[in-house]
Amino acid sequence: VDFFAAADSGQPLEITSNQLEVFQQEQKSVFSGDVVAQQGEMTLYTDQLTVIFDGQNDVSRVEAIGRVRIEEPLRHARGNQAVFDRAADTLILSGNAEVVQGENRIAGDEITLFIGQNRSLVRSTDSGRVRAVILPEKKPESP
Amino acid sequence: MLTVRRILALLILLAVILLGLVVWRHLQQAPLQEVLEALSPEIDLALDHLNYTETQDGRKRWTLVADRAEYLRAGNLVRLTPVQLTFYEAGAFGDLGLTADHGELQEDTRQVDVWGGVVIVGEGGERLQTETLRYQDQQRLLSTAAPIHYQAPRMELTGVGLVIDLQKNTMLVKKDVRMLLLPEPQENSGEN
Repeated sequence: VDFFAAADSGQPLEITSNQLEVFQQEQKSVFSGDVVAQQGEMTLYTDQLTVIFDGQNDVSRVEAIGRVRIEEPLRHARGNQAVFDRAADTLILSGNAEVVQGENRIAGDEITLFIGQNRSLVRSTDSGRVRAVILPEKKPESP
Repeated sequence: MLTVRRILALLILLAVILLGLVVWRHLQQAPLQEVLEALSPEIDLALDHLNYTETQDGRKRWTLVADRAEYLRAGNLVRLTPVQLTFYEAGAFGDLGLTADHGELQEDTRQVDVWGGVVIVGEGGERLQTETLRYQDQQRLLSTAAPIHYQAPRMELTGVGLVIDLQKNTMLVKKDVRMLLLPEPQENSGEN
């Protein structure tokens, strides 16, 4: 399951929101209110988005909090929170996390997507269970 | 024959004439009060090439330069055209240079209002453009309600309404925020 390949880091990242607060010292920008972040064919919607930069204005970490929705042409994901860490190359969805691709669906308390490795780890805390529905690919009907 | 007495009389006459000339020439330069009358009635004093630096504890805080400064009688106000303001050691923002077509300095509160082609440039090449801006020295705040356009290396930001806190090193954009982050130019990223 190939997640978030549509977020091509070679593309501009555009973020719109109602308000923005920049913390110059910490090189941190906090967008709040109807936040939409778009890069390539991936679009992320959330209530608040914190973007942390490294020295060269490169994004090193993104934290989305509140009604997170990530949409791509072939799949979408949902959760209360999402954290993208560039160094680890991971996207961690948490809080009623769910990823849907066509009729396939995985859900749990926390879904970790290892972006470069096309691998994901679904975890449930407390007594919750991981739920996964993976439908076999339909075989073409023999003539 | 010219006696001594006659020469003396001549000298005295000459001195009187000279003195008269000096007084007469002085009268040609209208007295200060009349010069003031020549300015518009609301202006106390006008200065060209104003250069003013505000310091605190011996350190420069900001410098104000204006081609022309007019001290207005009422309101303790100085009208400035055009305006250059340099903020020193503005925290993480470094030194900031501001230029604008017009400005007004409130002498008592040290508040400066500027308008007309307002541009702020940071040390790292950051550039902020807007139409009006207020600087409140006591709170070290820069603020506007107008649209802003901010550019930094590989970043562009637009919005409406802004507050920069030079003490807390924060910048708040109040409305209609759009930030565009551009990727590293392709040829560079190829080398890493």
